[in-house]
Amino acid sequence: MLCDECGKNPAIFSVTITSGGGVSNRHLCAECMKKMESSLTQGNIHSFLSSIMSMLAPSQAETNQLKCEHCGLNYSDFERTGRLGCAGCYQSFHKELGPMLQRIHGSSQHVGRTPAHLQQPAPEMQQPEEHIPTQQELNAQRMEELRQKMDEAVAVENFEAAAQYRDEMRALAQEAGET
Amino acid sequence: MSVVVSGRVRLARNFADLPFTTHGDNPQAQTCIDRAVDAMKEAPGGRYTLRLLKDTPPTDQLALVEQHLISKDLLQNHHSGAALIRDDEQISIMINEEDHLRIQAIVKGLDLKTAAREAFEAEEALERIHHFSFDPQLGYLTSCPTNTGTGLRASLMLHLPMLDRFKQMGSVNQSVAKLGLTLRGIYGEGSEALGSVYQVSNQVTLGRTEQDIVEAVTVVGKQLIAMEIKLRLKCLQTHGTELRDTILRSYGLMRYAVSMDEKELMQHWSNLRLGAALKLIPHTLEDIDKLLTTAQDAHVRQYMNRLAQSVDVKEARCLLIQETLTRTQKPSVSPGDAENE
Repeated sequence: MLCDECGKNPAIFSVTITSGGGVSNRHLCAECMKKMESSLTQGNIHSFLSSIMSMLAPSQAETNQLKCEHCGLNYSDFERTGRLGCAGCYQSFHKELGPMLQRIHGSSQHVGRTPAHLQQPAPEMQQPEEHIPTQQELNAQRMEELRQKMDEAVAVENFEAAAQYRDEMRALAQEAGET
Repeated sequence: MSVVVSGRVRLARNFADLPFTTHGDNPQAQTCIDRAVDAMKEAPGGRYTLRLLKDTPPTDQLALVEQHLISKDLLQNHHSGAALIRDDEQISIMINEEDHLRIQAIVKGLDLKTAAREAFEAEEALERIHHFSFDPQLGYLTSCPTNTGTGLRASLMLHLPMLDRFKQMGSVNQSVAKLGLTLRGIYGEGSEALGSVYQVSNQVTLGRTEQDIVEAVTVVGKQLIAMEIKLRLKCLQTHGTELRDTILRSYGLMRYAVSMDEKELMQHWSNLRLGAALKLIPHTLEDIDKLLTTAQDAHVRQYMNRLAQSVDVKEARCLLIQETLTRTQKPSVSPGDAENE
């Protein structure tokens, strides 16, 4: 089989692209696979973003309908420009931006500074309280573990294991969506 | 210092009660300017001057880009873009760029911690009255999701002629990318690494603390500096004559050429900077670093306007370079007197 991208070299990689409910397979040669990987890991941020968006965002038909309830920005405009309209867009497009942020930053949890007016009183003033994690938090934790394992597997070119982790992530995401 | 040109930390911030710049109108843009000016009136560290792009001639706008006090992107918002620049030019606050505010602190060397401290001091002054968009999970919310979280970009501008010469930058780029960092050219995203000037900065802004980001960029910067210095010493040992020849030929051209474009300038500037670092030319690194800004197009045009004679930009560039080199030449040192670093 020839590569779907260049049509010249024999395809030796199979890439599964999930968009919304649909899944499509592309068969790539080593050269085109490398190009795709490098556009994901380095260089031009716009091509990087658009690669991520096309791979991770829900299908065009679904996102075309999406609009920010705060500023009225269409999701398709964000896809085109890479710029959000207001802070509220992060809530309105939560489902779409979540995986994107995860892919860009490798995390979706801020651990840095908090503005002074939101800072909690000093620790000695607080009552110690045991935190019981919610199902959502447990899922997010598991998702992060799987993502790390998948990255590690890809790094050592163990694509079979990486595919397994990917499937587990997909199942977990579906499960979370249903509940 | 012989490798680091400068260090910078910038913070992207948006006011919580206003839509982002891309979705705002002119009155909103003015509100952002008014808030920033009010907040910085009594800010610590020095006096700030407001530069409104609409009142700044195009050449002067480009000169600010060459000084790295504003970004090229800000120029796209010609009517609403502005910058508050501290008089020592160590801090600049861009207003109405991609985000409402881009607070930037510049240091001469590797000391990104100082740059970060300065940027946070300015940030604290700016948020005293009007709060910034912040989400406990996602951190500071920015117009582009690539800046969300800390909104912090730490970068080191490095002069890496030997890594370039020995074609090491490709593999360096790959290793740097694996650490969540990126290498760019002299004017940031999408720009060429003219004159072997590279910027190493963090790509990731979410899921890491500000200290971790600053530390990671510093550690990678130090590593690149060590690699560059090692190659410089090796090259001096193995190709000393060739290296001296290249540097001093460029020095000769910079002193006596009559017409020079920007690309040629960068090539010879790079050799001169290496020459100053290896003490092969009678100039300090600081003097040569100043030329990186003052011999660029917009600065040359400003200089040209002050000249009595009628010359074009390329000729004016040569006059400016020669005036600078004559003025800054250290006495009693002849070109080519090599000393060890």
